[in-house]
Amino acid sequence: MSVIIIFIFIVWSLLSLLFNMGPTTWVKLIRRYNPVKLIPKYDMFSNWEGQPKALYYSATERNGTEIPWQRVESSYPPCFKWYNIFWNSKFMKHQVLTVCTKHLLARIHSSNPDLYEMDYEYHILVRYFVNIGREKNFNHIQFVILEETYQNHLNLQASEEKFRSTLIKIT
Amino acid sequence: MVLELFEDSSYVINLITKIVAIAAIITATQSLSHFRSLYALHGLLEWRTLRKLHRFSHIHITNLILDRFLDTRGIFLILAIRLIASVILLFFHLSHLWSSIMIFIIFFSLALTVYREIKFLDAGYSFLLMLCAGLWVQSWSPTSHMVQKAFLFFLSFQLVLAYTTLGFRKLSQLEWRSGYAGVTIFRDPSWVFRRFLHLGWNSPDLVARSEQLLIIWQLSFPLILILGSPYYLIYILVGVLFHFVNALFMGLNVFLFSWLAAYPALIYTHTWLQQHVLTL
Repeated sequence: MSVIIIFIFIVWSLLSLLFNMGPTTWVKLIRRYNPVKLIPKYDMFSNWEGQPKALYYSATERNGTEIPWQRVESSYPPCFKWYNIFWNSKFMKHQVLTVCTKHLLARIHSSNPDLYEMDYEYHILVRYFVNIGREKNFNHIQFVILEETYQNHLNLQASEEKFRSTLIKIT
Repeated sequence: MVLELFEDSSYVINLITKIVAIAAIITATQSLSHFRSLYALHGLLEWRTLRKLHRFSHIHITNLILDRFLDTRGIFLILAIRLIASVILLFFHLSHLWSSIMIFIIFFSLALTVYREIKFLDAGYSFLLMLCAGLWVQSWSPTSHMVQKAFLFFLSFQLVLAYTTLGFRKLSQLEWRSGYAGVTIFRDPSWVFRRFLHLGWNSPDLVARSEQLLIIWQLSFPLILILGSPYYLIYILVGVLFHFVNALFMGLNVFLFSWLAAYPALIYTHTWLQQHVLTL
């Protein structure tokens, strides 16, 4: 039994090494400096401090150069992919969007918005949008509009109607 | 000396188990205190909505099993069981078998809640999962000195790798290198407590320089294994301070305890390396 357990720990360590700082990552680091490409190699047990928001920023703020969403998607850590949306035709996209918007708006306009909760729902919303964006070939400007609109609402500076109309416009 | 205690692998594993239990208590109490908002009965955060986002949502049998555990009632039960198991693990001196069972319960409940909460697997939870899984595997042969040693080496390796990887990732991004990312975080009320937001606005240089020092510390973390006795303790103190600051400013309590739980293993590994390898 002891040998098996030690073997498990050795294999586990090697896999961690491979997924955290595997040869592909090092090759990329040496070949060309590219932050987006450096994100991906994280396994389930590694830690990943990034968020969709951070990922989104990192994908759009490269001197105005637009980075294709396929590359952003490929930069998701596997742990993110595990929970990635299984976006199929059975699922009513617009219905989901309505639910998301309704919930977010309710939170934003409540007398005491819980930022933790909003942050949580915001992540879900961003992921819906990433998926919708991929389907509809969103460009980064549309995502910037979404982000800015959301941030404005977070600061309670814009009206519900404006937020809703912007969402409708960009989708 | 206190440090001599860390030469005893059984003592170190027992200490790690207790810290893991504290981290598990925090996860359970935090989730239970936010229960109504996190596991709402209706809407976006309801399991029947969330499960549509999961990759295996189209498999009937998976849903059949998970529905029992992850609906609102099931998740409450899981959190309560985790809380009880971790309290027992922390306060009672258990036999190896019962200790193993409690650790497995904590691991299983953590894995289920992580699966349900689709946000992302954060650093605290992912490290805690790894710790619980490792402790459980180690508990299959709890008295074997070799297994204990292998587990502690494994844990040290994971910790060193995690810090170094984070350091490299930060170094590779301009926002982190320049310190801008830290300043942004310290201006965002969804990250930092409101009472500390003034740091981001009033002392951006301090935040940015601290972040750059953090990157250097993370990148050079592997040195901890070869540094001599007084110097490696500085690395450990900086690490403890870093996690405490995160907990204080951002409320990352799980991150604090789950990562600090691996520090005893690091001290053990360092001592062993000093005695058996570096003296050669």
